[in-house]
Amino acid sequence: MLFNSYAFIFGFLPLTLAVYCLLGQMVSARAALLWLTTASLFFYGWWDPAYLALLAASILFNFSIGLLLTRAAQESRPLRRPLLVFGVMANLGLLGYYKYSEFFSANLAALTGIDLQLQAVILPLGISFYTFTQIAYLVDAARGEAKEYNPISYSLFVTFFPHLIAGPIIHHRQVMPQFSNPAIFRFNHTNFAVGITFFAIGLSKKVVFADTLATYSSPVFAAAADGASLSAIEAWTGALAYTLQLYFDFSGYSDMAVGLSRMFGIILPFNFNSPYQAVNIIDFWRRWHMSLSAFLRDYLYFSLGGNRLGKLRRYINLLLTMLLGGLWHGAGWTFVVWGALHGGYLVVNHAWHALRVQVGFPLGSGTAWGRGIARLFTLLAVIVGWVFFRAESIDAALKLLAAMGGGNGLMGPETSDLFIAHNQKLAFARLTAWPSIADIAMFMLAVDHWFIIGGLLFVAMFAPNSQEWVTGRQTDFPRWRPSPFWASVTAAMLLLCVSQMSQVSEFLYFQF
Amino acid sequence: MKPPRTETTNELASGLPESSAFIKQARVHNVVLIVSVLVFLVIWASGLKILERLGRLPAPPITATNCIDEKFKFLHELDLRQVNMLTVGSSAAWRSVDLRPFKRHYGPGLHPLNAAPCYLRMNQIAFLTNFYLNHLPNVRTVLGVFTMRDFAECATNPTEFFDRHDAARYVFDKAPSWHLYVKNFRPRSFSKDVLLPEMPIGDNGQEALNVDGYGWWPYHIEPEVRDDVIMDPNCLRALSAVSKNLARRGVRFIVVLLPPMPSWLERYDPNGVRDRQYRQFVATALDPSQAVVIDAAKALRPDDKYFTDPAHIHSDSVPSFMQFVLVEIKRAGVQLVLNRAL
Repeated sequence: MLFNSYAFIFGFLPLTLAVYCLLGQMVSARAALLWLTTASLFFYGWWDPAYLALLAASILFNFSIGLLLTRAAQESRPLRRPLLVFGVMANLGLLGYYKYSEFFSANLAALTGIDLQLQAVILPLGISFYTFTQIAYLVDAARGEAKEYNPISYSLFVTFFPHLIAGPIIHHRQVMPQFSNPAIFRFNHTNFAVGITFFAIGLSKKVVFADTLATYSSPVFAAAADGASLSAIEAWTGALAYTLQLYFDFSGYSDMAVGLSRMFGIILPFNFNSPYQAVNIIDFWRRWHMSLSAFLRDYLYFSLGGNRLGKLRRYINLLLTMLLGGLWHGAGWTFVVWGALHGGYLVVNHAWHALRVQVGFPLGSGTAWGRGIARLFTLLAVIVGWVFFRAESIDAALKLLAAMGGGNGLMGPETSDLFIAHNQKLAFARLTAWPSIADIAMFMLAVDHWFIIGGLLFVAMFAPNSQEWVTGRQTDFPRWRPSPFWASVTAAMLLLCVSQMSQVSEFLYFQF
Repeated sequence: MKPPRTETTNELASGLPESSAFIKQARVHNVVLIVSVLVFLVIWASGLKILERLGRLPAPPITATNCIDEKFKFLHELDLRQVNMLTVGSSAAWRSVDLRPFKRHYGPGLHPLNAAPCYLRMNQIAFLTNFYLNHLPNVRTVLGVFTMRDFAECATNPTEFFDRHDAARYVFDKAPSWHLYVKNFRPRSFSKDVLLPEMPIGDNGQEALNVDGYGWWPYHIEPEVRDDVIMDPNCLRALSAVSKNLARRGVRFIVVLLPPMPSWLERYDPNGVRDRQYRQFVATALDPSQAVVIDAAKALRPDDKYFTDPAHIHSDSVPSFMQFVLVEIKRAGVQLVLNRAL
């Protein structure tokens, strides 16, 4: 079930919330938790009930191993390490089978001619997210940093519908203690007001902005995949549109997850913090998909040795972490290149920082202009990465990058064809004489995508983000408060979103 | 004087205070939110009513593409129960097929309807044809009028380009349409259609929608050569599928191919190789049991003035074109199934 669907907004959400509050107040906390778990499983099963069994098996397996690890850690038993290795390998094996077997088989066949005859398997929704969530739990259990949880709470921790299929990747220490807080089972007006506002912001980001941007980016990437000779304007339009689409889509989903969870009294971590305002790549990864960055840092980079084993080893660890991070996003060489590119960026960034310190320019000593230029360069590097991330193939990505670099000229003869309809071209021609209102309207409609992309780029680069706007403490912009004015704004946003949902589109991050 | 308030853990996590005043504000917020939704809906409905009174209310946005929605609105206003002959296609069919000569020729037993909208490609035409036939059980003849442009870009254009349930309820069940203005509201196209109501089709921004009783919309602008067209094999597969579907339903399928525009041929296909291939491909894609092909290129040698562009013929040429189609149908020995007089 998608958050941006009628079934979810008018059926699942109100029913689940109402029963949850009723059970919490009139029956027991346990009953409310059980209901929320059942509802979350129903939410997941709506997509394909067949994969519910896989999710249930994964939960049962990890809960059991986690319990054994917790006890082993308490008693310092030597069993801990092999049990942890077994648990982690089983999770990675499951993920590998569903996500990477076809990729591995195709590459093996290309390299050696050996055909493993593997059938294509459907990637279960959210498997990357719930696998990582549970691996973190197993590692913490082995380290003695997890408690013995009850099975209902643990199941809800994994399946809680706001984060189940596209994150954020939650940590048991952030969420599990909240399940034992009796206050969450009572309907809370503040939580509902904050929650519905976050939900409305996220839904707007998705259905109003991201889906519109997709109509500009998709034809460009499709044309690049078909080998079309794109002009620089077309290529930049596509690359910028995708850069913004991905941000508004994914951060919109995360805002919705935070908002929905908040309606149930549960606070989820924020997943984005204005990533396109980052002044370098290290900063970018502290702001983009923060829950994944934290996971990769805590459970992969540190496990590889982090920065404890010297400079060279640190750089290798960074590269490896980002390569695997790239592969986590998808089984394809474009994702590997994207990961490697960001690994390379991070190495250069860390080396640059070290050099600055060495020559006496400590970090944070730059001017506002310098920070502006740094922000622009960082965004440029990120855009180059997104071209690989989105492109059908490495070849298509390179063609698009070449076009962005002006390889096919600023404006080719086909420039207007991707975005400007024939009748709009006619209106352009008439603008030189005495244009009619219709001609001016046609002209505006023909170039509106540039205004939209420009406006949203400005928002992403300079405006406060959702959490700053709703719950932040800054006061230099009109902040949200629970007031009649903001309630009306939220109502208008929700109605606008509902009117834009008729063609339900999948969230981009479902495929990862 | 009150002591300074210390923030609880939850406040730090959420960034919001938990004072009773704040909770009260939140309660007011939630009530106003619900009331606002209702008020906005009432304002919206009133706005639609005013636009309707002013004659500026666009057709219900089933596709949010005005010329298609206008066609659905036209069908919504007709009694479709008797229809037994249907014209399908893109705007090539909509602007080229005047069914009055058919009506005159076959008499009261024929209930023809030009149901073709605009912009469509063959995969979409196939989808729309099936949709119509599912709701028009009396149709025994389908007249498809096509041009090479209809056979391009099928892979990139979504086949199911509208919600069948919404369209069926509106067009055939004559259900009210107010909810479509909420559900499928597209600010860009809606404002364009309200501000420029005489711009219902993209091909010619200045021309008013003017459809005759059987659904024909005459086209009369100066000829233009326009762009080249690359055929997509997916379109032929879609044609083949719709042809088989019609044969299975026992519906006669008459396919008419418009002749090529001379200036277009001269510019993009000087030897006419691609044009001939296209006609041959179409003929072989059809189910031979129920389909008949009338290729206008074999009999007509029109000049550029016959057309408005390669995909549409000029309204002045339509009478002779329709006469040609009638003669060819008779020559092919096709008997149209007529409704019995009551």
